Amino acid sequence: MRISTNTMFDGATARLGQLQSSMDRTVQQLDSRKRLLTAADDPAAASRVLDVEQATASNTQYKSNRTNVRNSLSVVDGAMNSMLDSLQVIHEQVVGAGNGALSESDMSIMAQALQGQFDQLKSQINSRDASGNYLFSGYQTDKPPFADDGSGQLRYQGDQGQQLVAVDDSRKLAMSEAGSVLLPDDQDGANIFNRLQSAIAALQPGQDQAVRQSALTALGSSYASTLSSVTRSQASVGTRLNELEQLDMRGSDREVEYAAISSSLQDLDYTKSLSDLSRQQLVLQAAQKTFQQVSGLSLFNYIS
Amino acid sequence: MANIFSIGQSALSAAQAGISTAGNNIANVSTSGYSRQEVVQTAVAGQPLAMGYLGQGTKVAEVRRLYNDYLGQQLNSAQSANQQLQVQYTQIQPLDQMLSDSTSGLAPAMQDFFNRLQDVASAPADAVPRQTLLASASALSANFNEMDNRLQDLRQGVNQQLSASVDKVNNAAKQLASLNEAILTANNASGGVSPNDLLDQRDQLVRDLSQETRVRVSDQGGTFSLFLGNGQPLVIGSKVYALKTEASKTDPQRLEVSYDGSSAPMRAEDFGGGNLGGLLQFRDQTLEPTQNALGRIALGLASAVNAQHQQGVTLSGDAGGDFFSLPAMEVDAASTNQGDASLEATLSDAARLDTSNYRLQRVGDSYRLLRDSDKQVVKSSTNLDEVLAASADAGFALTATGTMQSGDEFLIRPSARAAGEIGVAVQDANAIAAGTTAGAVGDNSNMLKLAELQSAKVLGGGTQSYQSAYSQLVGQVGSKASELKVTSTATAQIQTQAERSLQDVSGVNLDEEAAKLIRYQQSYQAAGKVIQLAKQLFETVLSISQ
Repeated sequence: MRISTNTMFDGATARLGQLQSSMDRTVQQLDSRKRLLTAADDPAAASRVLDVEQATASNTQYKSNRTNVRNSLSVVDGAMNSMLDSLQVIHEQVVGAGNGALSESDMSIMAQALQGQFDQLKSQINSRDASGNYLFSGYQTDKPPFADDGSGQLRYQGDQGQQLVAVDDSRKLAMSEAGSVLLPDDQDGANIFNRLQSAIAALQPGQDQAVRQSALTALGSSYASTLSSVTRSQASVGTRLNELEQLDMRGSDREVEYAAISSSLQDLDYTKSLSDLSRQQLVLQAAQKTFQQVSGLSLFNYIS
Repeated sequence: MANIFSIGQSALSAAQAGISTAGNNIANVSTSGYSRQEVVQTAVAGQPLAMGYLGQGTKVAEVRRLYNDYLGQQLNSAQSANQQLQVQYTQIQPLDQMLSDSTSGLAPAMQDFFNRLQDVASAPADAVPRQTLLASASALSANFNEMDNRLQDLRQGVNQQLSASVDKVNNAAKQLASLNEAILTANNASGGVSPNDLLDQRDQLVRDLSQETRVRVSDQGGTFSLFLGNGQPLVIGSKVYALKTEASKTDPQRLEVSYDGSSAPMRAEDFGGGNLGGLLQFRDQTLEPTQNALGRIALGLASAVNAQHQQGVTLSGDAGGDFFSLPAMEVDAASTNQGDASLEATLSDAARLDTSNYRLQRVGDSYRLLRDSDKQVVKSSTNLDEVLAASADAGFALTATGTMQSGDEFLIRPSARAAGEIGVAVQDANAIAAGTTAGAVGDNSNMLKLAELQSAKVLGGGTQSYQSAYSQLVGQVGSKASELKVTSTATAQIQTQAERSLQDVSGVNLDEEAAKLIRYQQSYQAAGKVIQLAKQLFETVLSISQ
């Protein structure tokens, strides 16, 4: 069979070109550390990689959401602890008042102590987060939850809104509690601040004994109901913090899982690629050598 | 004795012809389209004498071109089949690369947007997350714009290549027609001796044409007639039928190719191969659907975000407005419309949108709505309102005013512009409607709903989220690119084989020519000896008389 000189040259250069381009591909893979250079290399895997990357990014976002919720709940929890301390002092004072006759100076000391707890409780329920938003006023985070309603009485100024945050694919948790839930009104529409104010007024010198007794009794019952609602809320916050911890663990498991999937889809097998590269080099060298030798053969070398 | 001289003389000329033919082959070893030639010698008829016929020497009967029409045609058709795929593979690669970029592509931008929505949900009253959300929304829309820009560039590139290709076809057709004439003239002038170099040139022209379109050659008494893939003539004898390019009458940015005197746009099938077939196929099957698919994601995402955003209230207590700005749906009246009708399209249901374009036409008394992707008639009726209402199934609503005349046409491209022109409408971070209660700055309920749109299945008939629609698009383009890689490699091999087969017949082999040179050199030397001997014989005769 005859073969043309052009075919010999064209064939050899085409083969050299192919070898070079497959070597270039291996080099690109090694450079990028990726098996998939474009979606065309494995369309199904490339599309899956995008899905997994989305899931990973969402997972990371939920993690940061959980951190936000945790930070907020920690402040809430701390404030609740202080409230419980205040309630404890109030309770002691009310119990102390029931022990026999009180001198005017006893009552004055008691009134001062209650005023101190009044201020303390007010400051706790009006806690703010790092950005200055009130924690316990529902959605009305720019208003202090308890403020003077104009009659000299502290009233809840917020609403019942709950700031929920997505902490997982299908789970949302509230960042705080409404102040009206923590420090609820009793059946007479009064809250613990109102009761404290009445008791402090009744403890002033010259007040009627019966009025004082009833103010202290009302304060005692307000204490009891407030204590139970703060405790309840604190338990709920504790549950949420626990859940966050579990979700964190699940989140880290997922992170590892997603990274493994993504890696199996697109990461390069180094050993294989490096051995591919040296094999391709060898073949290319052999082809170059062959080309040089074959192209040197010509009958014209012998015509003189 | 005179006889011996003339025999020697004929041998000398034949050897000379052989040497110059071999020399010509050597000279043209790298000339594309050149077919090797060889000298065909015949013996001169003998002189009848009483003892028998006495040979009269040799003569060169023909300088023959070694060419095989069948192999030539195989190469031509292998070339147009290969070129059709190669040009598509070249075009799809930048598309594939752009979509596969997972670090700076659309996927991370979309993800970031939804993440920033969640950040606002965590701190609805804070200015910083709100500002960051606006920045992320701008980045997302800029990403859509940029991708669309690159698709638009590819579209522009297709236009340029189409017109370059049409120019090549027209030029080659013209040259071929004049070669037809030249060959005819040469044949007549030389009394049937074939003009080898002109034939080579003509075969090469057909080969060049095969790069642009599939052509069928019919050899009619030495004159070539050329027909396109669909059978329409391109050249008949010396008559040329030219192709031309012109802007589509419904889309000025789209160049169409039309055939001699007709204004109907030609389709990929009309060419049946080559650059023209490949480019049209790429634009119809890959580029425009990709642009529409991208637009559909932008349109679906922006309109859903807008609808939810409008449910909320801003920090100042006003109702939320549009979050993203979107262009109006693209509707173009054909430049040839006779009636005064105008048509408007609006989104009615993003879940029902597909990635096709639609056409509203009036033919006689009847109106019809056509889907471009599969050329199906969606609805046909003499009642225009019924036809307009049929677009609801495709996710958009049509409103017509004025009257259409028969032959009038509108092109509706529901999602063609969305990716290119999406923008952020909210300018002020305080105008982000995070909540639903006026005056409640901590209300994040609307943000939560907006963030939930991320996983909502809202496209493709309620089967895809925005992100899965995008990853599906990446997979589709990737599959197409991978398919083209495989098929174009195969057709390239077929073409190489065909080239090789033809070269095996027509290509010059330098060793072979070297051998011929030696052979003809020896013939020449031997012929010289014959003449020398004849001279000596003649001198012998002369010396007798001395």
